[in-house]
Amino acid sequence: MAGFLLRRAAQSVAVLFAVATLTFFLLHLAPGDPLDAIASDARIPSDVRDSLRVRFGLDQPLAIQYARHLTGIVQGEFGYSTSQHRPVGDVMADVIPNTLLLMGAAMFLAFAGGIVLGALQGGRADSRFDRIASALTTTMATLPDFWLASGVSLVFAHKLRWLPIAGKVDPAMHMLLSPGAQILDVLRHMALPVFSLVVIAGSVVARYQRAALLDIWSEDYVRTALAAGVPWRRRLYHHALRNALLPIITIFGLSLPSLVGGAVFVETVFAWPGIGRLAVEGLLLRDYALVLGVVIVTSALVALGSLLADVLHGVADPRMRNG
Amino acid sequence: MNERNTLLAVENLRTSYRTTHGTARAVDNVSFNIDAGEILGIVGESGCGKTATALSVLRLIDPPGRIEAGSHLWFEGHDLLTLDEEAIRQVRGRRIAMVFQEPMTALNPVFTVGDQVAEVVRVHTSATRREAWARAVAMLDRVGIPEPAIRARSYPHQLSGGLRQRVLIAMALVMRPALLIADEPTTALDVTIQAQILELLQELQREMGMAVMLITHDLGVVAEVAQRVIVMYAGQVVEEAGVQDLFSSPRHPYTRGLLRAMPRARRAAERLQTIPGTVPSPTAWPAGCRFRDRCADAFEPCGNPPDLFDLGGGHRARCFLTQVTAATAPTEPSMPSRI
Amino acid sequence: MADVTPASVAAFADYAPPVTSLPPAQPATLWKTLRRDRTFRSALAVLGVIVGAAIFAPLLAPYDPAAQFDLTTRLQAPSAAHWFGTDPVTRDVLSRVVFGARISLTIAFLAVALSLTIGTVVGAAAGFVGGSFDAFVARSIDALLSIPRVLLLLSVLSLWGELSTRALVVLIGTTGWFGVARLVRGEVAALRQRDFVTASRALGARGMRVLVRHVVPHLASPILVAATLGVGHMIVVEAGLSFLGFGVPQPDASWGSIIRDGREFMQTAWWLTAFPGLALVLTVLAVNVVSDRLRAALSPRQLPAP
Repeated sequence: MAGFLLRRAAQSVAVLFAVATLTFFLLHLAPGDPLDAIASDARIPSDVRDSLRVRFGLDQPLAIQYARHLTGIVQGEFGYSTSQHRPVGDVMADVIPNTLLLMGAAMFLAFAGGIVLGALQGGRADSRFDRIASALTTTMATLPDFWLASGVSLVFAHKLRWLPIAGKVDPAMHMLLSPGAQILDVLRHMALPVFSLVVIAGSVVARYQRAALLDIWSEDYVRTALAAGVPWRRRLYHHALRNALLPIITIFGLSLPSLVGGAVFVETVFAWPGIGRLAVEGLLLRDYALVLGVVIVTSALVALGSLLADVLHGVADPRMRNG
Repeated sequence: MNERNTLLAVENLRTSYRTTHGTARAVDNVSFNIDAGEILGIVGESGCGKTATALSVLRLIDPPGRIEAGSHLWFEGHDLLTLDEEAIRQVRGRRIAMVFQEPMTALNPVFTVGDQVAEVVRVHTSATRREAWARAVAMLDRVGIPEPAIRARSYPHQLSGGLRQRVLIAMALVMRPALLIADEPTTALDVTIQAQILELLQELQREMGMAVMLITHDLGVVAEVAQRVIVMYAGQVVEEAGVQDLFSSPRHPYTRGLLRAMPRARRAAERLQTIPGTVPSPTAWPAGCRFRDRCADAFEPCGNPPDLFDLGGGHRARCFLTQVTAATAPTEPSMPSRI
Repeated sequence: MADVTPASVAAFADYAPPVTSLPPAQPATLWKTLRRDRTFRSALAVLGVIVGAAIFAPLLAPYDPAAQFDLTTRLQAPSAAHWFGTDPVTRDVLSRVVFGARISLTIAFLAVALSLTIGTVVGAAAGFVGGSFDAFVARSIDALLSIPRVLLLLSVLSLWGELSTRALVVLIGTTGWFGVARLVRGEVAALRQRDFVTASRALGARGMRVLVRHVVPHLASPILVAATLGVGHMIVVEAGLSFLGFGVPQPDASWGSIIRDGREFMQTAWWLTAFPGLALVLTVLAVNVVSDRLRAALSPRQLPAP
């Protein structure tokens, strides 16, 4: 197990290395250089521009720049945000907790709900309930996140006015609220973006869970339990579900990148102050140090998440523990 | 000790299975009894319906397969086919238990073997977790697992095939069932382990006084442990006899073929014979005798379906040749009337 | 309560009619299975209608999608004259959606073709060559797959600025082949171990010949499934980019850009976002169902070995 984890951790590091390399080459393949955005201003004299070049190391050979790019990332230095006039690291540090809050809540609910729904369906495969639920999850899983989020916001925030339209807190009232009411305020702002993410991700999880359960339902050991007089419920929820969780944990690791992608759209629609919206804003403002910083950090988070999934898999599967 | 005490009476069992090629009647009108405390061997090639018969007894046949109306499975005063879901559940594992062929996949990989044996106790009694565990450990000890208290905490992948089969036997026998159905229990194991497992089964059978329905394609296994044998072919019983009787005077050509195909130490020099051809498809059993196309002795009457003729002394065979006396020419057999 | 147990399948395993064990990549058998599949047929029909609408857009669309009427027809709700209503600059939404199908589908098809080509070549090369090259490719693919697709696209867009439609196809296509490459690599590596490849190598067939004659036909099924799935995915990716404002440049409009144009007016004119969205969802759903049924037909439920 320890050896396996060590190998996996090394793999994650390799992934990050690849991402860092990729972003570096993207930067240098791009037309112009990273200082063009601020330095193209004619009012800035050319000697200032040159001194900036020296300061940011752009006069150095490519190999040196590459090495500095890598060491910068290791030290948490992602450059300077031209749109926010602050180091990219600081900008991201402000919003990452918001994204983690949103994603954490959405993923927890999506997996909990998806596993339960998938298990109920798998247990009654081909029943009316299963067919209706399958049609529903198949449709939900194909909904584009930005379209669903827009629709949800239109219906529940604009028309029905049940929940706030955008943001993380009420801009006027939040600071005046009691701590309990402040939490409630955040929860109310979270509800719609989380709901949008859960509907899609939960449907995907339910589909996988149903398929995994059906596969396992035909395993020999489920038949052994049946022949031993183990009741249906226990066979489903104890024997089959426990085994079906293993592929679901794998799915969790594999689906992280697309879940993060979904967050970009949902955060944009609901103006949630997270890292995805930050990337879109940075892009609109041509702040590519910020965008690349977001890409690197998100990839790191995803790598960390899939590492976590592997650890979970190891814990859940006795064959991995001492294999 | 000689009085016959029928434990399970299988009556006109018909099990069919819907395929894209039509209905396959895997078990076609099979009737036989198992007496309390006896070991009955059921033999035949793969595809003859022996596993389907075994699964039918525990009602483990599910769509697209089904047990047809008119079948009866009399066991301890009830027809198993009329029991509701909860009642049959209480029979499974408690009164009738089953051991399957594949010890490598028949145990749940994510639970310890002790848990899996204890679970059987827990779903059939009101025993506490601790009591069930104690019974499981005792049973693991009884089936010959060394250091049972420690091994009970092992996961299946940590045990060898032979030990896993012992665990499966422990699961089957922990409730002391009246009937154990063992479907090819040794086929997947090494030869040396096979002998140990068979010995263990015999030993436990004697000790617990249970009946065993032993399903196998291996006549050698039958010769070693069974008291009575049923030979199945193409979904039907083709011969039934005491084990001595069957081996000394087989009456069905198929049984004789199986015996000739069986390797024996003292005939090592002889060539093993095989039965030509294969089992016909269950979606299209041939009319008349189903063995006719592979039978060297087939003659005119075989175009009609033969009955399972009673030959006396508990010996029955489904062959017109049994009705032909030495005086009668094979071309003029008695034509049995079919009901 | 129905007791669903597949024990019966195992019980009858030795009775499995030989037809279930036929090799999957048989077009005739495949078509026979799919023709009976009602879900597949209806999805295919939906897809046919949408593709037909895209091809015959000039004939089907009631108006020129760019035509502007007088200001009284601005932001009209759906009516007999304008089935899907009109937009803030008085254009007919139905016509825009019909023509949008052309853009959305063309981009998706071209991007899928591109990503399948790159993915197949890279995957097959890695799987066939093996060794450290294969290990390097495999690790790189894993790394690329762990970057959220949207962010990868955004980072490229941030550096290159607005792209032409053609460049957009290239961008979406060149960032979409990682999954295909992984799939093909796995298949090729597995096939390489198979008897017929070993046998033909032993007989002296050159590597390339082996690849083309034996391995490629076996890749047809997984690639077919990946392709159908990819079309749906690409449509959504393009729509997402257009929605964020980084997609198809004006005056072309894909479904994603139509939705973006209507978003501002969502509260007062729901039809601006609802109809292009529905077209999008219907198309992707139909493509995914086709892909799903195709996969099911290609890998019939395996009966356990007797």
